[in-house]
Amino acid sequence: MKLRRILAASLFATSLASGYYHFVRFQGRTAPFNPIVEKFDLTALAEKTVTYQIAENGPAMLAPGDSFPAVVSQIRAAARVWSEVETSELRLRFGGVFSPGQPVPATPGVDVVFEELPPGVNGYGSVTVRGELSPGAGFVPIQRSQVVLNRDLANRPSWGSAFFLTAVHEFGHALGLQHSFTSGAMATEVTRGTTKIRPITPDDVAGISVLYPTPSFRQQLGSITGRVAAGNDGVAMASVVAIAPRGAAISALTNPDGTFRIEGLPPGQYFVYAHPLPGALQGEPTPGNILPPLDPTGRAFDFGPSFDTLFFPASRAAFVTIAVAAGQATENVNFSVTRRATPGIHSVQTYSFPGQTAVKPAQLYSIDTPRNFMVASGVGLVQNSQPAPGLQITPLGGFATVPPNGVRPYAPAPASFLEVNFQFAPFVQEGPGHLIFTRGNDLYILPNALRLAQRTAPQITSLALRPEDGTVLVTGQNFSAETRIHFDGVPATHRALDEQGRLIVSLPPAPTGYRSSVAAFNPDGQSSLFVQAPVEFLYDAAGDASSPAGISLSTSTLPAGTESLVEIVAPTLGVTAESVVQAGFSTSDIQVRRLWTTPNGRLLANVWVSPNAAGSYASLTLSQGLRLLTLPNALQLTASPARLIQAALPSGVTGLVPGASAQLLVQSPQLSGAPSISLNGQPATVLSYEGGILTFAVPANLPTGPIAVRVGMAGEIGLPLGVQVLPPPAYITSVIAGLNQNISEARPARPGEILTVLISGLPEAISASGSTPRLTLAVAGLEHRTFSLTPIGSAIQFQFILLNAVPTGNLPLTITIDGVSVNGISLPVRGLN
Amino acid sequence: MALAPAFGVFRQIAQIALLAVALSGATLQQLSFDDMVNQSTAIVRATIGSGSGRQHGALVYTHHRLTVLESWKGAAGASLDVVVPGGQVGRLQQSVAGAPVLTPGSELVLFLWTSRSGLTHVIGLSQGVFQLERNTGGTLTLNRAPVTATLVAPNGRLVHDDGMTMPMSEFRTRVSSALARSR
Repeated sequence: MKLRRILAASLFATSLASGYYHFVRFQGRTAPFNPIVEKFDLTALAEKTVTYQIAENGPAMLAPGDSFPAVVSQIRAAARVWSEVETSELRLRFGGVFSPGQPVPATPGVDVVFEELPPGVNGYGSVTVRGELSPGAGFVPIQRSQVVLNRDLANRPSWGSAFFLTAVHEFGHALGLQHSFTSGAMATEVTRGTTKIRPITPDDVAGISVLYPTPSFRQQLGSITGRVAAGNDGVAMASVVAIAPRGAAISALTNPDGTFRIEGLPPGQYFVYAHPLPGALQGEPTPGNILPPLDPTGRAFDFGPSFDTLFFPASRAAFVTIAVAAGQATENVNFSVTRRATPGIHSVQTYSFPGQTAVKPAQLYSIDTPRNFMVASGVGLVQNSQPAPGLQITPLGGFATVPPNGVRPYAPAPASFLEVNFQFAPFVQEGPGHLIFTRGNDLYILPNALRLAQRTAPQITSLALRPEDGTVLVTGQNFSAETRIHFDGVPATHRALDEQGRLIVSLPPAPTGYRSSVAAFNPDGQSSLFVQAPVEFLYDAAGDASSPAGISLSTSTLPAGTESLVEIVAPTLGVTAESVVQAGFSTSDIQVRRLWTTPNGRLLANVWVSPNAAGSYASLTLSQGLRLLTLPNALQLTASPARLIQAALPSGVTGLVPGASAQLLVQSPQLSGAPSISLNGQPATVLSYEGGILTFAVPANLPTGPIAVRVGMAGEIGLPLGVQVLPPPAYITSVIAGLNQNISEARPARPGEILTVLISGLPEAISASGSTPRLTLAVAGLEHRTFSLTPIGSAIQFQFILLNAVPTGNLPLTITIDGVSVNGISLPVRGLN
Repeated sequence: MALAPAFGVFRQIAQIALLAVALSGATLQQLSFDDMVNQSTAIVRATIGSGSGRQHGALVYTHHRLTVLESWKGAAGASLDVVVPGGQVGRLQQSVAGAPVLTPGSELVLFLWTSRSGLTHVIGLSQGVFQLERNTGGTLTLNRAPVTATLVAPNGRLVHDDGMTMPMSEFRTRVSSALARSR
């Protein structure tokens, strides 16, 4: 069918422009419109990581029981949301607390600040770029960005969903996202359909991944392109949404000529609809508070006219689905829309009442509960305290029906709110539910209008410290092995679910006397905050401390333009080799590139200093769980020495393998001669030195762990660099198809089949850490998605589907686990014939 | 007295709103007319002067000099300095979605709020900006984009605000009434 024509054209080859919800420039005012987005230049940032710092002055007013460390923990949790998007290369790292008066760093980063905001403003996010647009620019690099939060948090406790989701939203702006209208984190608060445990949606994932895509993003996901036109005129800034009946809703905005591209769509069937942006609400200078695209002179493009919302190809009902395939673009999904003077139904928000607390978006259940109804408000829903004449509400995809008289005035506030009742289909699945609102010519779709679950929210009855091992016993209801307990913004490590349904979790570190707000979160998106206030946990154990007393560094100065190993002693942290500690130096011009904790309580940090950072002081922030220690003026940054020797591991190399040879990149612009090298003070044998590449022998008896490497030349000794000594590499034990068919030349792998891989020889730490290891797999350089990952002692088993796109032959199978390479193998691949 | 469940539920809607009623890229709380009157430190009719961006730590604010034509609240002098978030400093442009655009030369009614640090902001980001026009009869009227969404105000009351087009004389009366109610 023509409408479903899928063109396997490369997404890169097409000239059709994306019209996403980013900060967009165009090189001219005529087609073709190729968006030039504002984003961080990850190629200029080590490990594609953006550092964010939090202003040390913090909020001036806090809710009862709240604290600055609790606020920081929630901000860090909000940053993690964006840092853990698998299809985005961007990573975020906490760089400590900073003084708002310190010089603006030269290295791009994010500043989280607390400002006296006027009444009616709780926060905002912004990006700072160079104003001019260079001819031929591929993108506009963000110089710095800002997350601005209110200094008055007296009515916004940090444990609340409102504070957390605001932080997630503003971080999204700071990373380069504008608003979308698909109920994700980047939707305006009116229609946002996210919760604390599901803070972003596929729409947000697509938005950030379009800016910072991994190679797999465009290989494993598909796209839809087309145009929205009114007559012959393209409609600018229309929102086009691809929506799966019980799944993802992902959107894009149109370019000035009406063209659009929706990217990041999981393969499947989608309805597609085009809708106008809602009219500017009070306080919004533009529709949806979108900053329109700019031309090179800084002149904004106009917003297109309002029009009647339309499902593709041309109906007010969802009839025709569009097929989306991995790595392919479904083209010519075009809309011919009819202008209208004013927007129809819009800005609908929904609530429900799992307990005594209203929850937004509506949380409903496929089981009977006393309050299994939804309350809705929005423009065009209510007239004279009755449902607007002709109003119909229809669940998309038939998972439920609204019975006759199922829409009625909501008795406590009939002037503005409707009560909506549903009858759910038998065996209906958990997940999001999208709703269609119609009245006259009005058509409005609210993605994620409700979430459906099969059981009610978790609830905490009590918390009890178990003195025998320092863990916490959490008693309550509706817990499962997937339930997570958060102490403020820090998820406690899950230990066990006992036979009585109680959870045992590790207690995140915190200072004595700290009062933590504790909540439970289930993977269905619900939390105990739906039904109760957080439960307080008082840290009353002796021995912890919150003061920076006793913190010392192995050096008080570092030269600009260097990276070197710094030893940090922090007796009050009680660090062990298993401790999870972060360190930051208050500015993105100084970054902790790697941090080790050692059994003797020391921290070893590779600290990078920007060439532009000389002449200033930096504070040190150490964080561990809910502990936050700051040592002011910990480092003085000096000018770069004239006779500098700087060593670094080659890109992609994570450490030294005992008994093997290794290489270091050496920069010594003012020096020449034969280099020497020492490992933890012991000389090592230099095998060659050519073109700045020093090859040396790694002694076979080096123990696993960090060591200090120093390179000498012409009588000078370089700064120490921390390098990990690796354990012997893990190896692929087997690759199996079907139940038990070992892949070999006699039984090669076939594209499209599921393969099971077993990797052995892993360090225990990976499989026993309790967290899911980050695994990448490529066949002939083509990244594959893995699933069903199961740690088994020092081995890991997982599966992947061999993509049809791989060629035949003996192909390199490469795997990394938590960034550590596994010994690769050659995988025989043949076609079915 | 225990609230009936339905009213308890409604109260909870209000409490959610108290925590997180927002409508824009910035996260905003909906402010009613009375809220704006009461929470502002100055209410003025003014002509907007040219703007210039200045760095305030990590943030850029665009400073506008306002020539005050009329004042209903606060001790505004003949002119005052008002900031809006974002702007240009040197070659750097800081963009804030939702920040008001104060066009130099335009005449506006502004609800303003001065922080302890001394910066004067428009209240509620853009919520405190009202356009002024002369209607066909020559009467000066005040316009604000309609509040097309029904939201719950921070104090738990429903906000019914359909935008407004009203003569300045009526606006003055409403401001006076709101100020009187707040005393």
